Amino acid sequence: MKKWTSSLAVLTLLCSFTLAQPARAFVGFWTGNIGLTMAGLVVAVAPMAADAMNEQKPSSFSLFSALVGVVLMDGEAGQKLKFVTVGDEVAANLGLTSAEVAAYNAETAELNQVFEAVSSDLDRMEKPSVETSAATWQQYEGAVSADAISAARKIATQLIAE
Amino acid sequence: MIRFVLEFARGLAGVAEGLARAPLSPIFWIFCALALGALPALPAGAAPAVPTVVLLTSLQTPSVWYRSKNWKIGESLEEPFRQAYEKSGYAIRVVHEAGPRQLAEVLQSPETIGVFWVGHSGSSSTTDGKAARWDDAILDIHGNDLKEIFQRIHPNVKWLGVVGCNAAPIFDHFRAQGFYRSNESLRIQSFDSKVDALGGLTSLLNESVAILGDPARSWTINKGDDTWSRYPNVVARADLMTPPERTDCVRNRGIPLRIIRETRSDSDLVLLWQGRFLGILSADAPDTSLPEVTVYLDEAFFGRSKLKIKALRTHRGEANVAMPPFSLRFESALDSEGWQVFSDSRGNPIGTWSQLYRYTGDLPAVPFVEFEPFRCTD
Repeated sequence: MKKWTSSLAVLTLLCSFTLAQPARAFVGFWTGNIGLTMAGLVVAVAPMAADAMNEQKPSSFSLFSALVGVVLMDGEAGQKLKFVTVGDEVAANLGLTSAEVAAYNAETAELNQVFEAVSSDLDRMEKPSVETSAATWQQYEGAVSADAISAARKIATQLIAE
Repeated sequence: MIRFVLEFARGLAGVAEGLARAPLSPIFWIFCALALGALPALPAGAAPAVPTVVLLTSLQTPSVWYRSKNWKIGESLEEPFRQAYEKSGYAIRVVHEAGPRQLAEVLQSPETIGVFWVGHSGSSSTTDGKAARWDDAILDIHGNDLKEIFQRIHPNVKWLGVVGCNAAPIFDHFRAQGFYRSNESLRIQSFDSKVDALGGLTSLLNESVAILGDPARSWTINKGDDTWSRYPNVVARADLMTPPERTDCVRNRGIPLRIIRETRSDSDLVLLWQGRFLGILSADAPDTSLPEVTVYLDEAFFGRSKLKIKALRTHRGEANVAMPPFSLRFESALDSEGWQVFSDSRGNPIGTWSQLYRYTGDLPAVPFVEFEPFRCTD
């Protein structure tokens, strides 16, 4: 009996998905709004897709789950989604031009910085949506090169399509 | 009673007489001087450091119905650690609710010989071949990702045990990138699956015996026995009690970079260079001076096309409240004006909990200087 009660007390699964206090804002911005952030990047060049996206996914969590195929518990994820550099094979699968690849690989740090900023802006909104996400992305237009943004949008589009 | 006092006094008198008749031997007087503290017994700072085994926990305490409200999960984790190491001969140290600064200090201390870290973590291998992936993370109690801090571990550390879900791939990745080339005798043990706090710590304590324990005098929990509630008992290895010679101190080459914080804040800043841990810029500074730190851009990782430094806050402030930007100044052999913060069209730094600094100046033939990435035992 002793061993079971002791184990129960500290049977804390040490996964990044199991923080004890839910819905902390700094964690929340990496969960529910990640999907909106990624969707806004796509919609910024395809605004007509916004309605379709809003219809398909009523909640940011289900949108996020559909986007990346992962099930997250509300406000409990500590991992961040980030852009990483691509090699020739991945670039070819994504249909990236050589200019897009060069720019994207050189500016992944900047893209992730903008991604963080957009996500946190959405987190402070009362009712974030795909449209507000797209508008927020446009506020940072010019901070990253057009080729890098174009590559990021193709990446986000493929992510959504999967 | 009176007789006892008289006899005692007589004895003291005899000792005094004997001392008065003692030959004026130099040995005698040196002994007296030492006894009186007239001479230092040992040169200052020469006391040998005792190797230290450290437990760091960084977990929120879960709500358990039969536990008191004052119970902390760290207490339950501290118990097996103490049972294993308190009488080992090593010094031990426990840090609960550890953050970036505490972790860095322990991992880089020459006195540290073994480290146990307990905290949430996660890694992702499901996005191989993708251009966007879930970043690996080793989290502290406040949600700060500390994984890069684990890149820099003092060569004196022989054991690192990390209790966290799926943390093992993170260290495999670091090793493949060359971060542990100065840690030939370091054993890193973690998990590549989900793990619970107490079970994981117990398992790692057991495994640490093979590295830190004298095999003849230490004992481990034997599998199959009903010893679930017992913990290993470690007796220190004699060869690990002796600090390494100064000549074993690691020396690298790099470009020194002095980073000064131009505004005071309540948050430390973790500094990363292209995903590599550079250092921590403390929020504090003595007197009225500004906080600053000197870091080195290691020659081994230096590439002329990638000079970007990311500064991450460790204190996140109030929820849903935008935090004011901070300002850093860089001083080095490079053009100080060449460091620019990544900003939007209005000049506002982009990023809520971090800021990205990029070097846009000229890159002259800057000489690399020798530096010691780790503090060596004196």
